[in-house]
Amino acid sequence: MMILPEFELLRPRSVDEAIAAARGASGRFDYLAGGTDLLCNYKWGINTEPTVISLRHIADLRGRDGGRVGGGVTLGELERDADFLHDYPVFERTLDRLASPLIRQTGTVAGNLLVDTRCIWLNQSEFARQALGNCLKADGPECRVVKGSTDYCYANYSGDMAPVFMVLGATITLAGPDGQRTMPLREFFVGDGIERFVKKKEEIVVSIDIPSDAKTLRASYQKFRVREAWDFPELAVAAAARMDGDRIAELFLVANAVSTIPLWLDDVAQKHVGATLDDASIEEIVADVMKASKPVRATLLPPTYRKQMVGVMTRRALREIRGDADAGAQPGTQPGTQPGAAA
Amino acid sequence: MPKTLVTLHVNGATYEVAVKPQDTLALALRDGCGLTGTKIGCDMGTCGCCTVLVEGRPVLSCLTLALEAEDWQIETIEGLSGAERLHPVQEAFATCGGSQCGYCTPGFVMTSVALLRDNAAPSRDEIKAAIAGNLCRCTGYAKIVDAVEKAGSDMRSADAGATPPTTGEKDDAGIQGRRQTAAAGR
Ligand SMILES: Cc1cc2nc3c(=O)[nH]c(=O)nc-3n(C[C@H](O)[C@H](O)[C@H](O)COP(=O)(O)OP(=O)(O)OC[C@H]3O[C@@H](n4cnc5c(N)ncnc54)[C@H](O)[C@@H]3O)c2cc1C
Ligand code: SF4
Ligand code: FES
Ligand code: FES
Repeated sequence: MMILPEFELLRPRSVDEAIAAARGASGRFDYLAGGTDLLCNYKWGINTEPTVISLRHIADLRGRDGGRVGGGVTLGELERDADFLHDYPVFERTLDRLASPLIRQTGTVAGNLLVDTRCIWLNQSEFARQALGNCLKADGPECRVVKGSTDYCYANYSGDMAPVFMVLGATITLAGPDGQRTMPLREFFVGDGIERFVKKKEEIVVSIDIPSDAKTLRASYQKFRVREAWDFPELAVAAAARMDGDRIAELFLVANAVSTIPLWLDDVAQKHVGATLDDASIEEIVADVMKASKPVRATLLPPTYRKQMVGVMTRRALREIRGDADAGAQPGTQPGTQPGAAA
Repeated sequence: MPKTLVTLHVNGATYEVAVKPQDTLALALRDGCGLTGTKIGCDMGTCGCCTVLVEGRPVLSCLTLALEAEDWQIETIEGLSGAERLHPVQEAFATCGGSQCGYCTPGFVMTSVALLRDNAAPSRDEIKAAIAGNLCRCTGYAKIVDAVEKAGSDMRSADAGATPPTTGEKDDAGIQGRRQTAAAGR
């Protein structure tokens, strides 16, 4: 059995109460939603706090209205929401391949955006970590993945929802002691595997809003994972495009799970606006996305292989957007699961 | 941290259990309510052994805090049928060989019960998708999928008033009895 550390559990009923509770905890607290990420990290003894503030009983964080999704909406609720999937069909496969149905049952949208970065060195039992020597992210002297790094953690961003929300142009609304603020989700993620985003500790993710014109975007999320039943992404690519005839009028690209944050590839996307989506143009975009992705050895598979697979996933995403019938099809066993077998 | 009394509504009964804030629902069910049919495997969300139903939906009790579960309607493997009978899903796991060591079985049964309440006639692919979060190290899954398929068919026959086809009649009583105990998860 994995033992949770001792903590005090607070269960506020409103966003304001939760923020007040957070201020009272003087920075030594964590918010808890579905608990499917936080409680695992606590059981591993990673960066635990003496106070846990549950957001589960706050009605204002629930519910969906058009493209507005409450931070406390569970992934299971979203995957059963036929109207939402009709408007934004890219989420159907994104959700289907995100964790397991049991995790999705309680895991929330906000919890997914804020899911802690993962690393093969860190995400182990306390016993194993201590035997290996703690790393920078767990109060050790230096990073174990990139030796010599004493001020930058390279742990991998591994949430599946953020890249899709980003290419659809979603905004995120935060509530904190100084009131509410809203920003494009692509500006939310910054920094290394410890810093991760611009959110202040006390701030609560109230909602994610997808603009209504995103309904006319063609989008695809291609995720590569080791285990098919459920697994975190080893890498993934989200793409969305608005076509003007056979030309790209707008293009949005995110390379996911190859860095500490989902990589918003604006330069690459802008460069290819106006191009057609023929095979040659797709290969040019593939090459640029691969060039921009610089994975390190923080996950199971070797970085060179993951970089190669970023290309494969980009190609599949763009072919799906083009309308190729089998482009996004990922059979039960993925081709190229073994390093060296990329197709 | 001192213990607090929490009221848990499990299988139609009410339990008052003293828990610490960090106690999981799995722990409270097993140690507090004495309902040890719910198993703890990985304790990290990866195996599904600890699955219980909350408001009819399968939830991992190892990643749920007991204090959060106050006021929820919880169902565990013990509540599926009386002490004397098996639920059709348990029956099908026993007769199809969907349970070997039995440790994963309560979790699979609870997930399957929730699936069949939503979808009385799931395809094999739908069954596989629903049980994707439950791990079994013994059976190889094929017999589990057989069992869920059979349970669905038995339950539909029973609903239509027909007698479900019986299987496993050749088993001697001892083996049948042992399988039933494993399927019940006790
Ligand atoms: C076995 C397993 C497999 C998984 N596979 C995947 C996968 O394939 N893809 C994937 O993306 N994820 C995966 N996850 C990770 C994760 O559990 C889910 O992404 C889930 O959505 C997290 O949501 P939660 O509500 O449970 O978050 P919690 O664990 O409750 O919280 C996660 C973080 O978010 C913060 N938080 C939560 N809600 C708010 C809010 N409203 N405001 C401010 N802060 C908040 C918490 O403080 C915490 O830091 C997996 C987890 C497990 C255990
Ligand atoms: S990337 Fe380095 S610092 Fe970050 S968790 Fe891994 S080993 Fe630790
Ligand atoms: S014990 Fe809960 S998922 Fe394994
Ligand atoms: S029957 Fe042994 S783990 Fe499933």
